[in-house]
Amino acid sequence: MRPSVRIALAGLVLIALAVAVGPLLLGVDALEQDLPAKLAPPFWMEGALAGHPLGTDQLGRDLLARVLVGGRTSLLVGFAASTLACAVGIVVGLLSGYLGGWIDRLIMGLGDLWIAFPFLVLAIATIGVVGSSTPVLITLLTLAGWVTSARVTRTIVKQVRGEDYVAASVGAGAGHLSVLTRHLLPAVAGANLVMWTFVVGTMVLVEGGLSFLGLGVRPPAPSWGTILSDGRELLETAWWIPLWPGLALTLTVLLVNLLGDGLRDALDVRMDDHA
Amino acid sequence: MLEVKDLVVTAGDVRIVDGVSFEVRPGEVLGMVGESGSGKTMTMLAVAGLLSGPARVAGGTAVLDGTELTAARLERLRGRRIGFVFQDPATSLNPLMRVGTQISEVLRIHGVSRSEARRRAAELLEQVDLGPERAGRYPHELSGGQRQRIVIAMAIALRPSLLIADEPTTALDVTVQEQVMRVLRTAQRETGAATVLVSHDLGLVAEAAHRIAVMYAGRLVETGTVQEVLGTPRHPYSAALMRSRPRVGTGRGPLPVIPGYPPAPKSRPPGCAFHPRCPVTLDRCAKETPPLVGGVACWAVRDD
Amino acid sequence: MKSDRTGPRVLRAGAVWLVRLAVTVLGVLTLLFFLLRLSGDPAAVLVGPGGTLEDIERVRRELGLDLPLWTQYGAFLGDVARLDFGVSSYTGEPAISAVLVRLPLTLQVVGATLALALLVGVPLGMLAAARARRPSGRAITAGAAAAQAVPNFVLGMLLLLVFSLWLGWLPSYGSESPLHSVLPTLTLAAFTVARVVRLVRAGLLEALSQDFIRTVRAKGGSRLRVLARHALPNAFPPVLAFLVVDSAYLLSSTVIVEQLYAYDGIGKQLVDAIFQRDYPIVQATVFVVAVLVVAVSAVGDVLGALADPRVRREAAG
Repeated sequence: MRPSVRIALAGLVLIALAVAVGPLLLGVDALEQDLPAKLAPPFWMEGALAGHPLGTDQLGRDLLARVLVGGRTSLLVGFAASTLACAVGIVVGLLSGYLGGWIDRLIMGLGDLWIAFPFLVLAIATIGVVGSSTPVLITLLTLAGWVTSARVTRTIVKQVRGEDYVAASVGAGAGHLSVLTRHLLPAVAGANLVMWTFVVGTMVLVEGGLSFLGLGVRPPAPSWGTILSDGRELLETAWWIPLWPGLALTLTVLLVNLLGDGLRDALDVRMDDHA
Repeated sequence: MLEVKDLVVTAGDVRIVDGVSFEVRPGEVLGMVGESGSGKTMTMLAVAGLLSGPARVAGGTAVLDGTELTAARLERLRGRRIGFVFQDPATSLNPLMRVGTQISEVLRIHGVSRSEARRRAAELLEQVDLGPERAGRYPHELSGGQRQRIVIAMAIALRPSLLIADEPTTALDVTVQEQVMRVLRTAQRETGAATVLVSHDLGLVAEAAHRIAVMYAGRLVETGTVQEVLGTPRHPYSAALMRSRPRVGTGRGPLPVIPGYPPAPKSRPPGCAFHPRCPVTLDRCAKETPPLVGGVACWAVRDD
Repeated sequence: MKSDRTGPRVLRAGAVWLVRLAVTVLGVLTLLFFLLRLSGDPAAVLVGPGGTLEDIERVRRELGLDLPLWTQYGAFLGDVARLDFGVSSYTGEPAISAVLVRLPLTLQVVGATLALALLVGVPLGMLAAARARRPSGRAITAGAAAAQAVPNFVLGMLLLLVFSLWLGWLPSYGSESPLHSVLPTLTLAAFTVARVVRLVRAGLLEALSQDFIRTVRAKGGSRLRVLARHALPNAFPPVLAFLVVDSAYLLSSTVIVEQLYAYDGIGKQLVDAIFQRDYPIVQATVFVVAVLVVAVSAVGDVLGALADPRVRREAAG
């Protein structure tokens, strides 16, 4: 394993552990308000309060606890959405590439239109109408993310289908399902692992953006995006409120990109290089 | 006139070209032959300052018409005094640029005005048997032979005094090889350039060259006129090379092959690099490298 | 090539694009129409909490909301064809003109971002490729990788804090002067420029490894000529493809950036409209964005064909 992959993997595991176990160890309620302790600065500044190392927000809630708990939401939504998106993408891509013909053209044509559309605009419009909740978020993000995975999968299926071992298997009377699961699925696994890695980063970002606009996770439950959004109003007086979720988001995305780049090189995956 | 002396090219700590010296007079064609990996292409890329990757000139001099070819001077001399024809015309032209523009470019780089360059490009196209209307074409719209003639036109555009053609027909269909060679030879005669024709094709060299230089494992093993080297080769390697050459009308038996393989540059044997494959090995051959004396580098054919 | 069949080909390409435009716009609006109609009663929203049942019933009749859904859909499509999205339930002005009035501010930011991508991203990418093995080149590459990872809303708050609230160099909120668009543009451009730097660098390194580069050197071409005149055009197609896809992404991101800086483009308008349940504005915005996206990818296709003669012939043949 390349050092960059190792660093990225270690960092991400650390972040995941921190948000999973951290709140339990910390024993501080992320929702508990303590107005006398509001807007306490982080530990190195004058006026910092013991027990609130990263400071507090405008309602006196502990920022360390909020960032850790908020990370649960952000990462959970990111993980779930990218996993679902890749699963849908694999199924669609396998069918599209395997069946070919007009189904293939229809699906890929739809994908072209889909990927070209500013997803956030549509998501905002939808959330504005149906309201926001974690399932709605995950559904929307899944709808947004399936295309890239479907395209990569389809391209590989088209290549592999023509190869001898698949043809031999079909010739030997293997059923469609068997060909799809025994030969084609393993062939697309590597590329989709890389895809999935990148999509996790994108999903965490989009969730953050929607929550930032007040259209994501509902308060008081924190996510990195909502904490950032809380900090907006008080940017000048309490800049540390958005600092921590901002750092957490940036670091996560950086590590995810690093891991994705490393995996892509290691697995020698070529994919069309969209955003 | 090109004079190369003790040229050494290294890649890392491997000596790809190991002390090569030769001369080419104006109007003369030197055929440089040898198996692939013998260093013949590297030698000429080094002379033109076109080495890339890890390869570096590590010693020796090249002098063209009295001017030593240093890296700084080569920047200005390439294209003007030195013309280069590459092996594969499929990849040696910019796919996104009209071929006329690519011909004019060499003139423009060396200070010819835009309109004059365009006019000269049309002339050059005719000179290589292509109509001037081809100027507007892109490389993918031309055949391999046509593309190679474009490359030749670029190489001779400024009437260079040194013309280097590196396997100019190897990548082409047999049917167009002859035409490309005819264009190349005409161009060579008209410019009067000292010419080096790098090739593994002895037949081609026999027809086009005046003199021959045989390379083996990064060294020159024999030089002489075409008649001398092809007719009465003195170095055992040259002799083996001549025997392994297919000829029309002679015998039907299998071609004699040189036993063994040319050594990789990393693991060249000490002494004469050919001695493990040589039919006439002396004790000395494995210990000392024979110098090129009287046109041949072999202990067995030395008078002393 | 120079053939008399060029005319019909252009027509055919144009027809394909019209179909694309129609499918995209229609699909998106249809989705929106049913979402809106299924989610609640627009008449009740319009009348407001103080209205009586009779008021709501009257508004419903006026708007045709008492008709079957399919009839409403047909009427809706007819309205869309006439660019009639109704009036803003907030200001009372026609929704489409309310959106078009705000559009220039958004286009200014997106356009400036694309310009920065070309004017800053391309030269930086060239520098990163020319100095690939030197510290300066590595620094550019690493910087681009980092800039790519910072979310725009995080970067935006950082820039706002530093350049506006602390240093006071640039205005913070609003869109009254051209100066107000500086921070939104920088925020939006960071990712795009970083990505272009990486694409240009990778494309150049690939192009520089090709044989024809040696030919240019053999002609006496300088390093700059090799890089700018020969390698760059060959490295450009992926950059162009990215910028086309990215334009859609930028239109998305303006929503966040405009909201952050209280910049009065269509992005902020959309978010405001969502919170005010001003659905005509939402529909008009989505329509305008859909048209823009299809237009941009049409322009991208044309530019892509112009940039590569091989594609040009394929597209023609």
